[in-house]
Amino acid sequence: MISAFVWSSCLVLLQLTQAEVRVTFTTTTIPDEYLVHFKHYLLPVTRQRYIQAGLRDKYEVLPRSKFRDIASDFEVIRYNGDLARLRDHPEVKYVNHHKSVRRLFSVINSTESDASNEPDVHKVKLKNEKKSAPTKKKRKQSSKSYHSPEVFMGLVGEAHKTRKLLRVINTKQVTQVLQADTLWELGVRGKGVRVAVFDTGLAKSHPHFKQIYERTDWTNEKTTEDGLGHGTFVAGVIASSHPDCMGFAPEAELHVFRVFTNNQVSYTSWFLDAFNYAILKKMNVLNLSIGGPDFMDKPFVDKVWELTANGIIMISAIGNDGPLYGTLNNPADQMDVIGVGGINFENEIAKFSSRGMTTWELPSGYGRLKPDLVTYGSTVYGSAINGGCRSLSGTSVASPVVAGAVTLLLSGVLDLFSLVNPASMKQALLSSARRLSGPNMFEQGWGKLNLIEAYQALRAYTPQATVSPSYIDFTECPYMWPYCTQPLYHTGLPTIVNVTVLNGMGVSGRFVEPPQWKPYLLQNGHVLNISMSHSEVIWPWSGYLALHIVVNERGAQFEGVAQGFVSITVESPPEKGSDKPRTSVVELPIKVRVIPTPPRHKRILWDQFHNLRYPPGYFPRDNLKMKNDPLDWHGDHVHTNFKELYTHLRNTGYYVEVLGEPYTCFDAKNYAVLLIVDPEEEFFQEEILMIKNAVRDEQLNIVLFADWYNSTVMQKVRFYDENTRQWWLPDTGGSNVPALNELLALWNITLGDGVFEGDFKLGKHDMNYASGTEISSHPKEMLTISKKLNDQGLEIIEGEGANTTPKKTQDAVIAGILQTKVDDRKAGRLAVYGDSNCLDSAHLKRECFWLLNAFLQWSTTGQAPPIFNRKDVRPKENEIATRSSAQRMKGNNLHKYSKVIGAAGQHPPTECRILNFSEPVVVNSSAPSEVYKPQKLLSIDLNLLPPPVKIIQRLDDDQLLPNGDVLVKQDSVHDRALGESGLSIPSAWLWFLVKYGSALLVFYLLLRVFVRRIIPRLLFLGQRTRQVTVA
Amino acid sequence: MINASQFIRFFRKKLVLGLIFSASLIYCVTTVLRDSPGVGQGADGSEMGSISLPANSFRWTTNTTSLTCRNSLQGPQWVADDRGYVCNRTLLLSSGCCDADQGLERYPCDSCADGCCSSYEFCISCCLRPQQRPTLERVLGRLGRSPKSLKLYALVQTQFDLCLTKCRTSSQSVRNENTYIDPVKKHCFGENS
Repeated sequence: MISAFVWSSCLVLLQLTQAEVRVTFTTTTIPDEYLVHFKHYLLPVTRQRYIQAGLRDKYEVLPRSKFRDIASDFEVIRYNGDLARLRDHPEVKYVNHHKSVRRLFSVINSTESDASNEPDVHKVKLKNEKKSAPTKKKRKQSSKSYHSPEVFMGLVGEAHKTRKLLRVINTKQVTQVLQADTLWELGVRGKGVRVAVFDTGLAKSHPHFKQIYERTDWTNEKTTEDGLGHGTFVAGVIASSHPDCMGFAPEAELHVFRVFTNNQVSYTSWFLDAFNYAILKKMNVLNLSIGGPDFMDKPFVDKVWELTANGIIMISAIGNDGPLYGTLNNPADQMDVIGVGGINFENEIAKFSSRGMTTWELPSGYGRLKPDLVTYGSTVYGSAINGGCRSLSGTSVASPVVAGAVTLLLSGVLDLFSLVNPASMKQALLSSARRLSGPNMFEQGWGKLNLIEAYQALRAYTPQATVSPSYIDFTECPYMWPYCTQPLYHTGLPTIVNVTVLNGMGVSGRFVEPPQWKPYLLQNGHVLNISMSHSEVIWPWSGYLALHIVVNERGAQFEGVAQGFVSITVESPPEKGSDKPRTSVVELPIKVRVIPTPPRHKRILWDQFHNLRYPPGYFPRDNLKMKNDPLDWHGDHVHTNFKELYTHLRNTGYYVEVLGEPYTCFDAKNYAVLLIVDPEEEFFQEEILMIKNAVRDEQLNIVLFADWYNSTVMQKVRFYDENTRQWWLPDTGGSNVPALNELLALWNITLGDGVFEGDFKLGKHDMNYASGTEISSHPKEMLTISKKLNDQGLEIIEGEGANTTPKKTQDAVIAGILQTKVDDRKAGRLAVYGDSNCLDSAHLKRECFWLLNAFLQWSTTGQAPPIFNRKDVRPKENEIATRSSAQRMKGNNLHKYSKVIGAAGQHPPTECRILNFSEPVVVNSSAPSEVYKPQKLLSIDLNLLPPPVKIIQRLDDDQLLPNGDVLVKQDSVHDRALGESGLSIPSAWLWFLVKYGSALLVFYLLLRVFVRRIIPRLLFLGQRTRQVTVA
Repeated sequence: MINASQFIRFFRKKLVLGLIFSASLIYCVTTVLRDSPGVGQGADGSEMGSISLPANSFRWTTNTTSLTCRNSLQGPQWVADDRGYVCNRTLLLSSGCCDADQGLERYPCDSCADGCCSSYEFCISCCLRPQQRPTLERVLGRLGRSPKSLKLYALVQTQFDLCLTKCRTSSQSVRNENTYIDPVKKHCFGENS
């Protein structure tokens, strides 16, 4: 036990990469202290009872403060006497002396000699991951389980775009940590709630489940059994009744929908039929621990809306693609779905948990707050496929934790069933969630699930509308990231906040009157102008309210905090048995930090308009080596996968604004630099003209990070998409170089169609060029850098076989800076680099923020970075001339996804947004000191124990359902299935004997004839011919 | 040649012929039993028994009493009730019925053509028309080919249930999985899909 304990401790901590740690330890036996090890995990009370039964004399239990209430399989006691009886106790495995262990860590170089001959020394290769100290590890999974491969780990396979099982990475009774037993003791155990598990199936007679009501298969594999363990685990977290890995609602009616095959395949069409069945069967709760990035899968998204519109509370996993931002999975990113992120038992966001805003709204809008909430998803204990318990991690685990909790909550409020719907359940969960202190709102949502308080919130619930986030405070860091990282100023582009409205009053609702902006006069609210847009219909149960916040002329010189609130009124049609529509007024407090407009040389404009992404098109990843993740799907926003870049720029003192519109929609006079990184979109003629004028007349500077484009390589990286069953051809390269060339033609710069890759040194910096383009021609006065790089394009075109031959290297111009001039007058400056991978946090190999800094410095001051040295970086003229420029790939589908071009040519330019500012209704009073009101829904004291509840049996099942009407009683279907299969078999046998027996008789007779007559004749013929030939 | 005649003689033995017969019989029976839908285990391996359609309790009648209605529940603005009226949510009575006194048309087929509609609610009301019965009977008759549909329609008891279910988008409504075959008229009660 102890050695296992230490061994697992060896994995503890440290964030080292390639070092070894030598762990030495010495042990000493502590007199009179014993470790009593039980055969099972027992509650403290039970442990006490067993020890008492085994010991005659007085003993002392050594306190283990952290695990006071948790089931454990051992106890440390101080005792002076005979232990024989205790050792004989049937529940006691063994009793050992307690030892004190001293561990000594020393980091050593891997070259050091092996220390294996030394006693008690373990050499442990440290992982590149932070592993927290295993507080109480169960023996079976010490260090081993951490490495053991899960079948569903390598799920990603070909493409990120497939909807996938959110892998369960490789412990703890999560029900106990969330205090589910408090509700169990009230008699609330999930009874009367129908919960659907959409997963990989479940064994018919798995010992952990009391009532598997129905299992259905929607795949093509003709089985409802779970071959992977994912479905068993997820169902276990919701409804297992095994004492070692209890589920939340062991008495719930479990409906298993198998929608994912053992080969980890699933199709939208399977989901559509399965969801229809779930609607028909009137499920109450539905867990989907499956997700994918394709939020533009219209049939699927529509169906999920339909599902929640029918009153089914849908809970889904947010994804395991963290810690990168912009990695949210669908359907968890939908407003009507409860999207769940994962934390570990130390209350830290799990590294794998997907995060960042939603990316549906880009480029012109801004993302919504997701995940909605977080809960334990790391090393959680649940049901194993073989009937035991196991520990797993992933948002796949966190989602059923919430689904189980929701099921349990529902069964505790059966008397209030008409009030419970997807929105009110979400409101109760969010309002009671406990906020974690470190992570920001795009990582933790509203915080950590709190089961007991959610129960109280639900019991005290009155139908109403709420908003998420419930307030906007630009002064609160880190929770209000990124709003808290940059203050607002006059002339800045509007800052957009996308608020989700949850309407617990009805599936459909609307804004009664335009939302009102109410600035506090005393808190300088008047310096803000707010424009609001919102959903026409709040459906299903949810809608959006988008705020565009700008600082008006009155705030041009203002420095300080401006406050006010937005007031909205939501109305829903009358509920059953009433004639009056219901209304709810919501106030959204707003607190904004305002500064005087910063000087032009500090302001950078990020071009979002020209960034296209998957979905819908196949926009390949910028690094061609990342074959298992071929799609660019993170949104390419400074608050998603370019978050590091944003943080860097802000730390350097630059102000970053995001342009979600064409270049024709911004005032070049305000900005020092237009930053274009990895654009996939085409350019309007008007935009090119605008840029030409802005660089010439307004001294606008441009910094461009391009990427590869080669039509032959693009043909090579096509793939067969399992999901849509068709071949996928890229719509652009890493970026749209032919379009960029049209822009760069203004200054006679051309980017080539070469694809280069390799490591090199730039100045004193190590650099990595990960599939980038080159500058194939440029004016003489441009300062450039050329490097010897591998021709990756050639490698890919020549195929796998080419890997054996030595790599072909070539000189390529990778960077250039240019001072443009108009009649000897200096105009704007240009800086171009051929690869964007070093700025992108997705698959980042080596960052080059220093280079960006150098470029910005060059743009704003005209000081050429020292790496641009005329003498040794000037390439030979003749070499440049031979390079070809990138040409558009014929037959590509970019026009389908472009905002600029259509099948028939260029569209007229997109109109610039005109903001209609809400007429401010000044409030002549002081703002409340605290904007954040954590418990918005609650009206009762949370410190009180939950009130004892009489559990009301759902007698009139059909009328109480939030779904409304009902088709068939559940039981009858179940029984019928059993009865009919029992009846039909004898008659079937008779039928078969008659039908196929006669057929076989004929077959037999024919066979007889064949064997007796025809074969001999044939053989005889053969004989005769042979004789003839002989003759 | 000797080998060949020996071979033939071997085949003529009754024992061998019997063996061949019984082996093929067993094979035939087991494969047929396993593949046949509706007998014993369903073809999809679930514990569904054999299903006769329409269900024994299936009624073609629609709601004629106007006391209480069941309705389509889900729509953002429109609701279809089981009497064949479609109304805006503002005209929905607390009984669940559309307020027919407001001059509503019964069984409207707006936005429908060839059994497919662009609105789910109008699809339901159009599908509820008594004259659609032959079409719906043909639709039900064809279900036997797809075990997944069987599962769905086994629970259907009235024409309204049938229309509620049939009008939903399903696996039959999509092409290449993530696009609708017809993005506009995607709700169908007819045989088209």
